[in-house]
Amino acid sequence: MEAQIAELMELSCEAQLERFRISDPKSPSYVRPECLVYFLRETARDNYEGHFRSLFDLVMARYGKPFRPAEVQREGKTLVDTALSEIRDRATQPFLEKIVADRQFRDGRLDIYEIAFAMAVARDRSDARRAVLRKVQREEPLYFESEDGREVTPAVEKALSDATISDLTTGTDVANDRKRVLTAIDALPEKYRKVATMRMNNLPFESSDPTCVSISGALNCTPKTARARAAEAERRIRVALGLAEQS
Amino acid sequence: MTSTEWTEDAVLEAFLLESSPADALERYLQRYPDYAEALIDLAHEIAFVETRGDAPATSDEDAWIAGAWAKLNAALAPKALTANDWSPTIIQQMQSAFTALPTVVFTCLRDRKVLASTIPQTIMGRLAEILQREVDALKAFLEGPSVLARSAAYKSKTPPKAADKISFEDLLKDAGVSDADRRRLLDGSE
Repeated sequence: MEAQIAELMELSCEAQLERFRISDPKSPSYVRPECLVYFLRETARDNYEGHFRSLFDLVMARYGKPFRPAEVQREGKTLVDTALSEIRDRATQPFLEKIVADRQFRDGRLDIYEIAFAMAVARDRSDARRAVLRKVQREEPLYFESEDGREVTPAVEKALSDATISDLTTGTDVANDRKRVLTAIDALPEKYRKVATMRMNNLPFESSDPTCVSISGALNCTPKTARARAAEAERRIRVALGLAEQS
Repeated sequence: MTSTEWTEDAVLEAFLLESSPADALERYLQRYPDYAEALIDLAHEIAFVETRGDAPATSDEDAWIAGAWAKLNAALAPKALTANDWSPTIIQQMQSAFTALPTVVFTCLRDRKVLASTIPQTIMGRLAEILQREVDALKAFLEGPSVLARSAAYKSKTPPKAADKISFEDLLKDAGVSDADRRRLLDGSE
Protein backbone atom coordinates (compact mmCIF):
# COMPACT_ATOMS: atom_id res chain seq x y z
CA MET A 1 0.00 0.00 0.00
CA GLU A 2 2.91 2.35 0.74
CA ALA A 3 4.03 2.14 -2.89
CA GLN A 4 0.54 3.00 -4.11
CA ILE A 5 0.31 5.94 -1.71
CA ALA A 6 3.72 7.21 -2.84
CA GLU A 7 2.63 6.94 -6.47
CA LEU A 8 -0.64 8.76 -5.80
CA MET A 9 1.11 11.50 -3.84
CA GLU A 10 2.83 12.52 -7.05
CA LEU A 11 -0.54 13.26 -8.67
CA SER A 12 -2.65 16.39 -8.45
CA CYS A 13 -5.88 16.27 -6.41
CA GLU A 14 -7.93 15.95 -9.58
CA ALA A 15 -5.78 13.16 -10.96
CA GLN A 16 -5.97 11.36 -7.62
CA LEU A 17 -9.76 11.60 -7.61
CA GLU A 18 -9.87 10.23 -11.13
CA ARG A 19 -7.96 7.18 -9.93
CA PHE A 20 -10.09 6.85 -6.79
CA ARG A 21 -13.25 6.78 -8.90
CA ILE A 22 -12.20 3.53 -10.59
CA SER A 23 -14.37 1.03 -8.78
CA ASP A 24 -13.43 -2.15 -10.63
CA PRO A 25 -10.93 -4.07 -8.47
CA LYS A 26 -9.64 -5.84 -11.58
CA SER A 27 -8.48 -2.57 -13.17
CA PRO A 28 -4.71 -2.02 -12.90
CA SER A 29 -5.44 1.60 -11.91
CA TYR A 30 -7.78 0.57 -9.09
CA VAL A 31 -6.92 2.15 -5.76
CA ARG A 32 -7.47 0.03 -2.70
CA PRO A 33 -9.99 1.36 -0.16
CA GLU A 34 -7.24 1.39 2.49
CA CYS A 35 -5.47 4.07 0.42
CA LEU A 36 -8.68 6.05 0.12
CA VAL A 37 -9.01 6.04 3.91
CA TYR A 38 -5.40 7.19 4.18
CA PHE A 39 -6.05 10.15 1.89
CA LEU A 40 -9.36 10.89 3.62
CA ARG A 41 -7.50 11.17 6.92
CA GLU A 42 -4.85 13.35 5.34
CA THR A 43 -7.49 15.92 4.33
CA ALA A 44 -7.80 16.84 8.01
CA ARG A 45 -4.34 18.36 7.66
CA ASP A 46 -4.72 20.18 4.37
CA ASN A 47 -8.01 21.74 5.49
CA TYR A 48 -9.49 21.54 1.99
CA GLU A 49 -13.16 20.76 2.51
CA GLY A 50 -13.96 20.14 -1.15
CA HIS A 51 -11.39 17.36 -1.36
CA PHE A 52 -12.63 15.88 1.90
CA ARG A 53 -16.19 15.74 0.56
CA SER A 54 -15.12 14.04 -2.65
CA LEU A 55 -13.06 11.48 -0.77
CA PHE A 56 -15.78 10.90 1.77
CA ASP A 57 -18.26 10.06 -1.01
CA LEU A 58 -15.81 7.63 -2.56
CA VAL A 59 -14.94 5.94 0.73
CA MET A 60 -18.63 5.57 1.56
CA ALA A 61 -19.32 4.07 -1.87
CA ARG A 62 -16.69 1.41 -1.11
CA TYR A 63 -18.02 0.97 2.41
CA GLY A 64 -21.55 0.41 1.10
CA LYS A 65 -20.65 -2.38 -1.33
CA PRO A 66 -21.13 -5.34 1.02
CA PHE A 67 -24.58 -4.15 2.02
CA ARG A 68 -27.17 -5.80 -0.13
CA PRO A 69 -30.01 -3.63 -1.48
CA ALA A 70 -33.05 -3.37 0.74
CA GLU A 71 -35.28 -3.12 -2.30
CA VAL A 72 -35.92 -6.04 -4.61
CA GLN A 73 -38.27 -6.50 -7.53
CA ARG A 74 -40.66 -9.45 -7.33
CA GLU A 75 -43.20 -9.98 -10.08
CA GLY A 76 -43.32 -6.29 -10.95
CA LYS A 77 -43.57 -5.18 -7.33
CA THR A 78 -40.94 -3.42 -5.26
CA LEU A 79 -40.42 -5.09 -1.92
CA VAL A 80 -38.42 -3.41 0.81
CA ASP A 81 -36.63 -5.32 3.54
CA THR A 82 -36.25 -2.74 6.30
CA ALA A 83 -33.91 -5.04 8.26
CA LEU A 84 -31.36 -4.77 5.45
CA SER A 85 -31.43 -0.96 5.43
CA GLU A 86 -31.28 -0.94 9.21
CA ILE A 87 -28.20 -3.16 9.17
CA ARG A 88 -26.48 -0.72 6.81
CA ASP A 89 -27.48 2.30 8.90
CA ARG A 90 -26.38 0.66 12.13
CA ALA A 91 -23.05 -0.34 10.68
CA THR A 92 -22.47 3.12 9.21
CA GLN A 93 -23.04 5.04 12.43
CA PRO A 94 -19.91 3.86 14.30
CA PHE A 95 -17.86 4.29 11.12
CA LEU A 96 -18.99 7.92 10.88
CA GLU A 97 -18.21 8.43 14.56
CA LYS A 98 -14.71 7.13 13.96
CA ILE A 99 -14.23 9.54 11.05
CA VAL A 100 -15.39 12.43 13.26
CA ALA A 101 -13.10 11.39 16.12
CA ASP A 102 -10.22 11.00 13.70
CA ARG A 103 -10.69 14.50 12.31
CA GLN A 104 -11.09 16.06 15.70
CA PHE A 105 -8.61 14.15 17.83
CA ARG A 106 -6.62 11.96 15.41
CA ASP A 107 -8.35 9.06 17.09
CA GLY A 108 -6.72 5.70 16.32
CA ARG A 109 -9.93 3.72 15.90
CA LEU A 110 -9.93 4.42 12.18
CA ASP A 111 -6.55 2.68 11.77
CA ILE A 112 -8.11 -0.72 11.09
CA TYR A 113 -9.86 0.64 7.97
CA GLU A 114 -6.49 1.82 6.69
CA ILE A 115 -4.95 -1.60 7.36
CA ALA A 116 -7.71 -4.02 6.37
CA PHE A 117 -10.76 -2.18 5.06
CA ALA A 118 -12.82 -5.24 4.09
CA MET A 119 -12.19 -6.87 7.46
CA ALA A 120 -13.22 -3.74 9.32
CA VAL A 121 -16.41 -3.44 7.28
CA ALA A 122 -17.09 -7.13 7.89
CA ARG A 123 -16.85 -6.50 11.61
CA ASP A 124 -19.20 -3.49 11.41
CA ARG A 125 -21.66 -5.48 9.34
CA SER A 126 -21.49 -8.44 11.71
CA ASP A 127 -22.09 -6.27 14.78
CA ALA A 128 -24.95 -4.44 13.06
CA ARG A 129 -26.59 -7.61 11.83
CA ARG A 130 -26.44 -9.23 15.25
CA ALA A 131 -27.98 -6.15 16.84
CA VAL A 132 -30.76 -5.88 14.28
CA LEU A 133 -31.58 -9.58 14.26
CA ARG A 134 -31.62 -9.67 18.04
CA LYS A 135 -34.21 -6.94 17.87
CA VAL A 136 -36.48 -8.42 15.26
CA GLN A 137 -35.83 -12.09 16.13
CA ARG A 138 -36.61 -12.87 12.55
CA GLU A 139 -36.89 -16.30 11.08
CA GLU A 140 -37.63 -15.22 7.54
CA PRO A 141 -34.70 -14.98 5.17
CA LEU A 142 -33.34 -11.63 4.09
CA TYR A 143 -34.16 -11.08 0.43
CA PHE A 144 -31.85 -12.78 -1.93
CA GLU A 145 -31.21 -11.17 -5.26
CA SER A 146 -29.15 -12.73 -7.99
CA GLU A 147 -27.01 -9.90 -9.29
CA ASP A 148 -25.83 -11.18 -12.59
CA GLY A 149 -28.62 -13.55 -13.62
CA ARG A 150 -25.99 -16.17 -14.47
CA GLU A 151 -26.90 -19.78 -14.63
CA VAL A 152 -25.42 -21.87 -11.86
CA THR A 153 -22.47 -23.87 -13.09
CA PRO A 154 -22.91 -27.65 -13.39
CA ALA A 155 -20.25 -28.07 -10.70
CA VAL A 156 -22.36 -26.10 -8.24
CA GLU A 157 -25.46 -27.98 -9.26
CA LYS A 158 -23.76 -31.29 -8.75
CA ALA A 159 -22.32 -30.24 -5.43
CA LEU A 160 -25.75 -29.13 -4.30
CA SER A 161 -27.26 -32.41 -5.34
CA ASP A 162 -24.60 -34.07 -3.23
CA ALA A 163 -25.81 -31.88 -0.38
CA THR A 164 -22.42 -30.74 0.82
CA ILE A 165 -22.10 -27.01 1.22
CA SER A 166 -18.36 -27.21 1.64
CA ASP A 167 -18.06 -28.56 -1.91
CA LEU A 168 -20.10 -25.81 -3.53
CA THR A 169 -17.14 -23.80 -4.68
CA THR A 170 -15.12 -26.48 -6.35
CA GLY A 171 -16.30 -25.67 -9.86
CA THR A 172 -14.06 -24.30 -12.56
CA ASP A 173 -15.31 -20.73 -11.98
CA VAL A 174 -14.48 -20.91 -8.29
CA ALA A 175 -14.59 -17.18 -7.53
CA ASN A 176 -18.04 -16.68 -9.04
CA ASP A 177 -19.45 -19.87 -7.56
CA ARG A 178 -18.16 -18.92 -4.18
CA LYS A 179 -19.63 -15.46 -4.48
CA ARG A 180 -23.08 -16.78 -5.43
CA VAL A 181 -23.12 -19.35 -2.67
CA LEU A 182 -21.93 -16.83 -0.08
CA THR A 183 -24.62 -14.39 -1.21
CA ALA A 184 -27.21 -17.14 -0.79
CA ILE A 185 -25.83 -17.99 2.65
CA ASP A 186 -25.88 -14.33 3.58
CA ALA A 187 -29.61 -14.27 2.96
CA LEU A 188 -30.33 -17.27 5.19
CA PRO A 189 -31.94 -16.93 8.60
CA GLU A 190 -29.38 -16.84 11.38
CA LYS A 191 -29.51 -20.47 12.54
CA TYR A 192 -29.08 -21.80 9.01
CA ARG A 193 -26.41 -19.26 8.14
CA LYS A 194 -24.28 -20.32 11.09
CA VAL A 195 -24.45 -24.01 10.18
CA ALA A 196 -23.79 -23.25 6.51
CA THR A 197 -20.77 -21.12 7.43
CA MET A 198 -19.34 -23.93 9.53
CA ARG A 199 -19.95 -26.46 6.76
CA MET A 200 -18.21 -24.09 4.33
CA ASN A 201 -15.26 -24.29 6.70
CA ASN A 202 -15.39 -28.09 6.68
CA LEU A 203 -16.23 -28.45 10.34
CA PRO A 204 -17.83 -31.80 11.30
CA PHE A 205 -21.34 -32.10 12.72
CA GLU A 206 -20.08 -33.91 15.77
CA SER A 207 -16.90 -35.10 17.36
CA SER A 208 -16.19 -37.74 19.96
CA ASP A 209 -13.09 -35.81 20.96
CA PRO A 210 -14.23 -33.00 23.27
CA THR A 211 -11.18 -30.91 22.36
CA CYS A 212 -12.18 -30.90 18.68
CA VAL A 213 -14.55 -28.29 17.31
CA SER A 214 -17.85 -29.52 15.93
CA ILE A 215 -20.98 -27.72 14.71
CA SER A 216 -23.17 -29.28 17.39
CA GLY A 217 -20.62 -28.37 20.06
CA ALA A 218 -20.11 -24.78 18.91
CA LEU A 219 -23.82 -24.12 18.51
CA ASN A 220 -24.78 -26.04 21.61
CA CYS A 221 -27.27 -28.30 19.85
CA THR A 222 -27.51 -32.01 19.13
CA PRO A 223 -25.76 -33.46 16.07
CA LYS A 224 -29.22 -34.36 14.75
CA THR A 225 -30.33 -30.72 14.96
CA ALA A 226 -27.09 -29.57 13.33
CA ARG A 227 -27.63 -32.01 10.44
CA ALA A 228 -31.27 -30.96 10.05
CA ARG A 229 -30.29 -27.30 9.92
CA ALA A 230 -27.57 -28.00 7.37
CA ALA A 231 -30.07 -29.89 5.19
CA GLU A 232 -32.52 -27.01 5.40
CA ALA A 233 -29.76 -24.49 4.68
CA GLU A 234 -28.79 -26.46 1.59
CA ARG A 235 -32.40 -26.65 0.44
CA ARG A 236 -32.78 -22.89 0.81
CA ILE A 237 -29.51 -22.24 -1.01
CA ARG A 238 -30.73 -24.41 -3.88
CA VAL A 239 -33.94 -22.40 -4.03
CA ALA A 240 -32.01 -19.13 -3.91
CA LEU A 241 -29.76 -20.25 -6.76
CA GLY A 242 -32.77 -21.31 -8.81
CA LEU A 243 -31.92 -25.00 -8.62
CA ALA A 244 -35.06 -26.03 -6.74
CA GLU A 245 -38.62 -24.88 -6.42
CA GLN A 246 -39.80 -23.06 -3.32
CA SER A 247 -41.75 -25.63 -1.32
CA MET B 1 -5.30 -17.63 26.54
CA THR B 2 -8.79 -18.72 27.44
CA SER B 3 -12.08 -17.00 26.74
CA THR B 4 -12.25 -15.83 30.35
CA GLU B 5 -9.07 -13.80 29.90
CA TRP B 6 -10.10 -12.06 26.70
CA THR B 7 -13.24 -10.05 26.05
CA GLU B 8 -15.36 -10.90 23.03
CA ASP B 9 -14.33 -7.63 21.46
CA ALA B 10 -10.63 -8.40 21.85
CA VAL B 11 -11.03 -11.91 20.44
CA LEU B 12 -12.96 -10.66 17.40
CA GLU B 13 -10.36 -7.94 16.83
CA ALA B 14 -7.56 -10.51 16.94
CA PHE B 15 -9.49 -12.83 14.61
CA LEU B 16 -9.96 -9.97 12.18
CA LEU B 17 -6.23 -9.39 11.98
CA GLU B 18 -5.35 -13.02 11.28
CA SER B 19 -3.68 -13.32 7.89
CA SER B 20 -6.24 -15.97 6.93
CA PRO B 21 -9.29 -15.84 9.21
CA ALA B 22 -10.89 -18.81 7.45
CA ASP B 23 -7.92 -21.01 8.39
CA ALA B 24 -7.94 -19.60 11.91
CA LEU B 25 -11.66 -20.21 12.57
CA GLU B 26 -11.30 -23.73 13.96
CA ARG B 27 -8.45 -22.66 16.24
CA TYR B 28 -10.42 -19.70 17.55
CA LEU B 29 -13.55 -21.79 18.12
CA GLN B 30 -11.41 -24.23 20.07
CA ARG B 31 -9.80 -21.54 22.20
CA TYR B 32 -12.79 -19.29 22.72
CA PRO B 33 -15.90 -21.50 22.75
CA ASP B 34 -17.83 -18.82 24.63
CA TYR B 35 -17.62 -16.55 21.59
CA ALA B 36 -18.39 -19.25 19.03
CA GLU B 37 -21.50 -17.60 17.62
CA ALA B 38 -19.83 -14.20 17.20
CA LEU B 39 -16.80 -15.84 15.57
CA ILE B 40 -18.97 -17.83 13.15
CA ASP B 41 -20.92 -14.69 12.23
CA LEU B 42 -17.72 -12.78 11.65
CA ALA B 43 -16.20 -15.60 9.61
CA HIS B 44 -19.19 -15.47 7.29
CA GLU B 45 -19.07 -11.67 7.03
CA ILE B 46 -15.36 -11.71 6.18
CA ALA B 47 -15.87 -14.29 3.44
CA PHE B 48 -18.93 -12.47 2.12
CA VAL B 49 -17.45 -8.96 2.17
CA GLU B 50 -14.38 -10.16 0.30
CA THR B 51 -16.57 -11.20 -2.62
CA ARG B 52 -18.35 -7.84 -2.81
CA GLY B 53 -15.56 -5.64 -4.14
CA ASP B 54 -17.21 -5.37 -7.55
CA ALA B 55 -20.81 -5.33 -6.33
CA PRO B 56 -22.95 -2.81 -8.22
CA ALA B 57 -24.11 0.32 -6.44
CA THR B 58 -27.54 0.08 -4.84
CA SER B 59 -30.27 2.31 -6.25
CA ASP B 60 -30.30 4.45 -3.12
CA GLU B 61 -26.51 4.81 -2.85
CA ASP B 62 -26.44 8.55 -3.60
CA ALA B 63 -29.19 9.31 -1.08
CA TRP B 64 -27.53 7.10 1.54
CA ILE B 65 -24.15 8.80 1.09
CA ALA B 66 -25.80 12.24 1.20
CA GLY B 67 -27.47 11.22 4.46
CA ALA B 68 -24.16 10.02 5.88
CA TRP B 69 -22.53 13.31 4.87
CA ALA B 70 -25.28 15.28 6.63
CA LYS B 71 -24.77 13.22 9.80
CA LEU B 72 -21.01 13.69 9.60
CA ASN B 73 -21.35 17.45 9.18
CA ALA B 74 -23.72 17.70 12.11
CA ALA B 75 -21.23 15.78 14.25
CA LEU B 76 -18.29 17.88 13.04
CA ALA B 77 -20.01 21.23 13.57
CA PRO B 78 -18.26 22.97 16.44
CA LYS B 79 -20.35 22.49 19.55
CA ALA B 80 -20.72 25.52 21.77
CA LEU B 81 -19.37 25.11 25.29
CA THR B 82 -21.66 25.92 28.20
CA ALA B 83 -21.13 26.20 31.95
CA ASN B 84 -22.92 22.86 32.33
CA ASP B 85 -20.07 21.18 30.49
CA TRP B 86 -17.78 21.99 33.45
CA SER B 87 -19.17 19.11 35.48
CA PRO B 88 -17.48 17.96 38.72
CA THR B 89 -16.05 14.99 36.80
CA ILE B 90 -14.54 17.25 34.17
CA ILE B 91 -13.07 19.55 36.84
CA GLN B 92 -11.62 16.49 38.52
CA GLN B 93 -10.03 15.46 35.22
CA MET B 94 -8.58 18.97 34.90
CA GLN B 95 -7.10 18.67 38.36
CA SER B 96 -5.50 15.38 37.45
CA ALA B 97 -4.03 16.97 34.33
CA PHE B 98 -2.78 20.08 36.18
CA THR B 99 -1.77 18.80 39.59
CA ALA B 100 -0.24 22.12 40.62
CA LEU B 101 -3.57 23.93 40.38
CA PRO B 102 -6.26 24.10 43.05
CA THR B 103 -9.95 23.64 42.18
CA VAL B 104 -10.64 27.36 42.43
CA VAL B 105 -8.65 27.97 39.25
CA PHE B 106 -11.04 25.77 37.26
CA THR B 107 -14.18 27.19 38.87
CA CYS B 108 -12.94 30.68 38.00
CA LEU B 109 -12.43 29.57 34.43
CA ARG B 110 -15.90 28.06 34.45
CA ASP B 111 -17.27 31.38 35.73
CA ARG B 112 -15.37 33.20 32.97
CA LYS B 113 -13.45 35.40 35.36
CA VAL B 114 -10.25 35.13 33.35
CA LEU B 115 -9.16 36.92 30.18
CA ALA B 116 -8.98 34.18 27.55
CA SER B 117 -6.13 35.96 25.75
CA THR B 118 -3.88 35.60 28.82
CA ILE B 119 -4.13 31.81 29.01
CA PRO B 120 -1.18 30.00 27.36
CA GLN B 121 -2.12 28.05 24.21
CA THR B 122 -0.87 24.75 25.60
CA ILE B 123 -3.18 25.09 28.60
CA MET B 124 -6.09 26.10 26.36
CA GLY B 125 -5.41 23.04 24.23
CA ARG B 126 -5.38 20.64 27.15
CA LEU B 127 -8.49 22.16 28.70
CA ALA B 128 -10.32 21.94 25.36
CA GLU B 129 -9.28 18.33 25.03
CA ILE B 130 -10.66 17.49 28.47
CA LEU B 131 -13.87 19.35 27.65
CA GLN B 132 -13.97 17.51 24.28
CA ARG B 133 -14.36 20.73 22.37
CA GLU B 134 -12.34 22.71 19.90
CA VAL B 135 -10.02 25.38 21.31
CA ASP B 136 -12.11 28.00 19.50
CA ALA B 137 -15.23 26.84 21.35
CA LEU B 138 -13.40 27.17 24.68
CA LYS B 139 -12.11 30.62 23.71
CA ALA B 140 -15.61 31.76 22.71
CA PHE B 141 -16.96 30.50 26.02
CA LEU B 142 -14.28 32.28 28.10
CA GLU B 143 -14.86 35.52 26.21
CA GLY B 144 -18.49 35.63 27.37
CA PRO B 145 -19.49 37.80 30.35
CA SER B 146 -18.26 36.58 33.69
CA VAL B 147 -20.76 35.03 36.06
CA LEU B 148 -22.09 37.24 38.84
CA ALA B 149 -21.48 36.21 42.41
CA ARG B 150 -24.73 34.77 43.72
CA SER B 151 -24.79 37.22 46.62
CA ALA B 152 -24.18 40.29 44.44
CA ALA B 153 -27.86 41.14 43.96
CA TYR B 154 -28.52 41.36 47.70
CA LYS B 155 -25.60 43.38 48.93
CA SER B 156 -25.66 46.46 46.78
CA LYS B 157 -28.05 49.33 46.13
CA THR B 158 -26.78 49.65 42.61
CA PRO B 159 -27.58 47.11 39.89
CA PRO B 160 -25.25 44.11 40.01
CA LYS B 161 -22.35 44.22 37.61
CA ALA B 162 -19.90 41.51 36.72
CA ALA B 163 -16.41 42.07 38.08
CA ASP B 164 -13.67 42.88 35.63
CA LYS B 165 -11.86 39.86 34.32
CA ILE B 166 -8.37 39.16 35.58
CA SER B 167 -5.36 37.76 33.83
CA PHE B 168 -4.51 34.08 34.11
CA GLU B 169 -1.30 35.01 35.92
CA ASP B 170 -3.22 37.00 38.55
CA LEU B 171 -5.61 34.12 38.98
CA LEU B 172 -2.69 31.80 39.71
CA LYS B 173 -1.27 34.29 42.22
CA ASP B 174 -4.65 34.72 43.94
CA ALA B 175 -5.06 30.95 44.08
CA GLY B 176 -1.73 30.63 45.87
CA VAL B 177 0.10 28.75 43.12
CA SER B 178 3.84 28.74 43.87
CA ASP B 179 6.19 30.93 41.84
CA ALA B 180 7.91 27.92 40.30
CA ASP B 181 4.64 26.28 39.24
CA ARG B 182 3.31 29.58 37.96
CA ARG B 183 6.39 30.13 35.80
CA ARG B 184 6.17 26.61 34.43
CA LEU B 185 2.50 26.98 33.59
CA LEU B 186 2.89 30.39 31.98
CA ASP B 187 5.87 29.19 29.96
CA GLY B 188 3.66 26.49 28.59
CA SER B 189 5.94 23.74 29.86
CA GLU B 190 3.09 22.01 31.71
